[in-house]
Amino acid sequence: MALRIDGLTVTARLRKGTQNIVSDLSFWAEEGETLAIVGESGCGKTMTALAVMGLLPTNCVAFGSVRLDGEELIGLPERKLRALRGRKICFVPQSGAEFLDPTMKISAQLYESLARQGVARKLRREVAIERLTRAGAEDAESFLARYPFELSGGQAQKAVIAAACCDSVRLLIADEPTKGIDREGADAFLGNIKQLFPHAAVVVITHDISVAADADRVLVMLNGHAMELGAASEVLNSPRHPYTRSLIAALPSNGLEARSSLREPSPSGCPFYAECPSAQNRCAAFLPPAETAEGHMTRCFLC
Amino acid sequence: MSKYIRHILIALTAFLAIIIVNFALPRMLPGDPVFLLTGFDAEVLSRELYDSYYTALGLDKPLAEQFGDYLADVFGGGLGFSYRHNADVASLIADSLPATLQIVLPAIVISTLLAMWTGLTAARRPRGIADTAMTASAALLGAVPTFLAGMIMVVFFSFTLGWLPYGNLNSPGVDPGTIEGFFDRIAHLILPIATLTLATTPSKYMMIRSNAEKASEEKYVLYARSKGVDGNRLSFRHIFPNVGQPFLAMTGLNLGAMLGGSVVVETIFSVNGMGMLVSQAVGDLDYPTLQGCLTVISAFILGVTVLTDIVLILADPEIRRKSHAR
Amino acid sequence: MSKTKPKRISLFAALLFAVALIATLFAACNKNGRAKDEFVIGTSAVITSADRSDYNFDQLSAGLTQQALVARNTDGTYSPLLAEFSESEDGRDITFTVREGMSWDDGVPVTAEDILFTLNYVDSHESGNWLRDVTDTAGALTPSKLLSADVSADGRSITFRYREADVRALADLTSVRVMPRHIYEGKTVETASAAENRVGCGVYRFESYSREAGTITFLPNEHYPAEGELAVKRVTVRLFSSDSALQLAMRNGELDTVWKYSGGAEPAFAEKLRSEGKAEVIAVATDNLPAVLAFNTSFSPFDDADLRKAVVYAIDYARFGALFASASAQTPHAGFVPPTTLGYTADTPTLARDPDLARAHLQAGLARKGWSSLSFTLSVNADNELHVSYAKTLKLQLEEVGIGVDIKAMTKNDFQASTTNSGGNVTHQACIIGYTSNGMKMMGGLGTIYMDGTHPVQGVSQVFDEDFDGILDKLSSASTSEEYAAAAAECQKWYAENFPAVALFWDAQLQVVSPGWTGFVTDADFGIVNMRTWQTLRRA
Repeated sequence: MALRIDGLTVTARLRKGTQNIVSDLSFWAEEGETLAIVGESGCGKTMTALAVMGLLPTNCVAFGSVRLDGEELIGLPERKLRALRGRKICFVPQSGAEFLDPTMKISAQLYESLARQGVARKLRREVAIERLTRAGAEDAESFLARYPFELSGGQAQKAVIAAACCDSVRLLIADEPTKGIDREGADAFLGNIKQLFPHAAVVVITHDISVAADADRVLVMLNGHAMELGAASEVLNSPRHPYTRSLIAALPSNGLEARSSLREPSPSGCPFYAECPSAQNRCAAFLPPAETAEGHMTRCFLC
Repeated sequence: MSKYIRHILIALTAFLAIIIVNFALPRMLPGDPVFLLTGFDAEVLSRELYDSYYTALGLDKPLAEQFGDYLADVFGGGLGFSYRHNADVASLIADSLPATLQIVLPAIVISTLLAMWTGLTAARRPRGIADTAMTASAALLGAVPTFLAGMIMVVFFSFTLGWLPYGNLNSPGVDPGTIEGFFDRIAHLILPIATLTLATTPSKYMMIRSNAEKASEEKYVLYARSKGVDGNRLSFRHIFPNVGQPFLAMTGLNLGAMLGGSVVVETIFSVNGMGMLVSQAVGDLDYPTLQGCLTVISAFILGVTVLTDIVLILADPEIRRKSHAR
Repeated sequence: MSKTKPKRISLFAALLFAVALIATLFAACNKNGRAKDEFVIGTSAVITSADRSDYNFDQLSAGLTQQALVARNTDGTYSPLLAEFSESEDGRDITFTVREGMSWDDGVPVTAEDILFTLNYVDSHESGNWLRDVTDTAGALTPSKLLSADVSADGRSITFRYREADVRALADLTSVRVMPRHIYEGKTVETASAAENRVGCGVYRFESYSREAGTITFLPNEHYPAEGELAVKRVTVRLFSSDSALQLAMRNGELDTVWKYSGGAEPAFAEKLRSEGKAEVIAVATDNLPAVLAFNTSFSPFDDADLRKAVVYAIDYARFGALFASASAQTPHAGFVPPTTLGYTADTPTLARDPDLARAHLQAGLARKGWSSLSFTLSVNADNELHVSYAKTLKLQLEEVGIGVDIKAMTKNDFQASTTNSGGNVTHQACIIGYTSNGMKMMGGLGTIYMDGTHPVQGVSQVFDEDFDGILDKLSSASTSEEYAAAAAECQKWYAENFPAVALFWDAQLQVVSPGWTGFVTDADFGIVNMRTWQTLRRA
């Protein structure tokens, strides 16, 4: 397996004390497959991504195991981690325009990535143009000469994708890659992924279930916990976890069914306890264990 | 373009105001303008000498004509005549300026580069060993007054060790034009430049360090790091261009102010630069020299300020691109 | 891959920098050694253009390139410098004859015409009154000193005819340096070129001035009729902007002596040099008073004699001497003027601290004024650190007898304005001040210009007293030295009874010289850098 995560816990040291941002998270992604991590904002998706890359903020610590091609990343010295970033582990951020360096031309930023990936100086321009075109850019040459503020959201996104797609990528993490892009662009991107990153495990973080539909497998997170993990078609069409069901029910195409707070939340129990229509007493007392059946994981007493 | 013009116009207006104030002041201050403008006083001047100076200074002419003469002096003449030194103020400044520049320019360059390098390096790992050591040293150095730093240097390097000379710009008998003279000059400049650098680096260091530390939470830093960019490249190529604006502004201000020379450094190291010229003129109440120096120094400061503004404007790619597009 | 290139560049840069640094240090260590026949003088005087138009250079060159007619010896007698002199019977004529061989360094011989030219030059360009009356800007008239100055037929002598026999005629002449007529005919010091302004007739002549190196060098004047060979073949004056650097250089043995116009080395510094074996100290008795407490006798509270005396007897003179003066210091007398002053008499009592006497006078004065205690403002020049220290010490001592002191430190200009007539109204109550040798000698001498309230320029003590005016008349009209001595004694007695001012200590000027030289001659006005020293100086 390209990426394997076991019992990942991320603890943050806040002013009011310590808090678990991510608790006991376990999942995996194979080479060539796309895993979508779905959840509401604040559920720990981005933190998970940062933990994998070793870029957590200074007040956070990661425990557990994160293995890329068998190599343990947690506890790996920074020097070695750095060697992986930009080469084996690539990151496509939420909205490229905000994450690109505003004082550098696109060409400079792309060449920077290419240099790290071992592309010879003379070839960089050629490779950059080729990658931008592959990522969907129409006039790649004019792209290069521009600054980030001169690009539209979609164009900026293509630029960061181009920076990330190199042959040596083993893990691609894309954080909300379709945010701010129109439907057509989003479709294009998702369709393109397998073409752009043939040898990599692709982890797509999204709150948009429709994006998840294009992935191979889906992981549903709530409050830092993994709630359900399975094949995309199963999880989205016949969700087992009450939380997943409520997420799907809330889609515009399904009537925008809202959730309501039914009872007081319980810190020691299931994170969905407060709003779960089928909650029982034991749901408040204990955190349900993760149970896997036929490759499909659910963390629920009732499934 | 319009942005530049505004800055330039403001600077020109300021300069005009300074010129006018310079002219009006000795005529408005209490006391006799003859005494002020010659620097002599009642005991020394007999009636006839007083009268001759009165005419020589043009005080018997109508005010408008005096102002015209004054402008001619400023923009073409010798910037006034100093009776104390028996020379044109312009020639006094021309004699003193090179000495000051030889100390001040290298000091600014070195202190800017040093502050940049140490500040960015320290900010990479806040509260780490390097950061704590450097920030503590900067705080300590910043508290040491310039004259103390200079004196310690002189006592240690010139007196105790005997490695470097006490002051002046050349050793007696050495011809500045030769190779030997060149290295001799550098040997004489080392201590004054080092003193001035030590005095000006700490504040720049603090500024760039705190700005760089704040910047490390920015999105572009996270993205760059995710690409594997780190260390020097991250600091200099990514962070600095984004946080460098106030730093550049500070350097520009520094440069402008430096023309006045550092009186302290020049006094300790017996360098006859602008700082000494101005401070002696203050002590002697040599008003013409002060006037001339004020005009030159203000022109320089204003010029450097305008230049800094323009550079900052140009450095921002947004503005550069937009103006082209229009 | 792209990392190695920058590494190589920075390595190269570091190497280049190291090489440059080593070369520079090598150059620095390779400082030129001093020749055995070179004499180095260090000074912190500000000299910007090394020619006669620069005041400090002019003073310095009095010991090197320029000559006055006569010089004063430390025992009070006068020696010929540029000219021999003789007085007539009635004392009203003095004839000066230019000494054999005296010549300007451009080869032109010095004649009596140069002397006459100098008098006329000073009159027209420097508000002098040798041969003409002068009206100052306030309208007061000063008559000419001389009735006439006639050059002899052979052009080598000139006779000065004074209005009346002037006991102090020679004293006035020690600072008048003769100017070359052939250079300045039709020009002034300001309009002449720098080269012209450097021509002199002294033992040495100007060689070079380097602004970057801060040195002025002098070579022997080939035309000077020296007695024997000069031991010093080059004099180098090194300019320092900071006294600290100057002192360090002296301690390092880089300088042979330190020059200061009308001043000596600080006692603590001189002592340090002496104890380290780095220098010998020559004490030069002078007639200046560096530390004076002057009362304003026209203002309250010190218009009352008892209150003045209360302060006078509360001062611990021994302590002042111990703290601030050198080993050659003396306790001052009530007669105010130091022993080297012309007309000095040792008859006045030595000042000493007497707290009981001080308190007695204090009670008497307070009773007369109707006050319960005395408190006054002590003015001092804030720029003069030593004076500020004197003021603080004085305050402590006076407080011990119950006199309150409020120290007011002012800028140089404000201080001058409030303590001298030229500055405006004299408004101080008491001040710490220093009196120069020249000032002490002016007019009638004995520092009278500092006491006399009618003096247009000084008048620090604001004395408007009939008896004192009488003494002033006697001093200026004295035509023989005996008459002068009698008037001077009267003056000092008057000081001792009325205390318009007291000296805090009498001290000698300390000159520091390298132990490598011997044969220094002390000139009472100019210290050890003078024409006679050069002719007797030898390597030790």
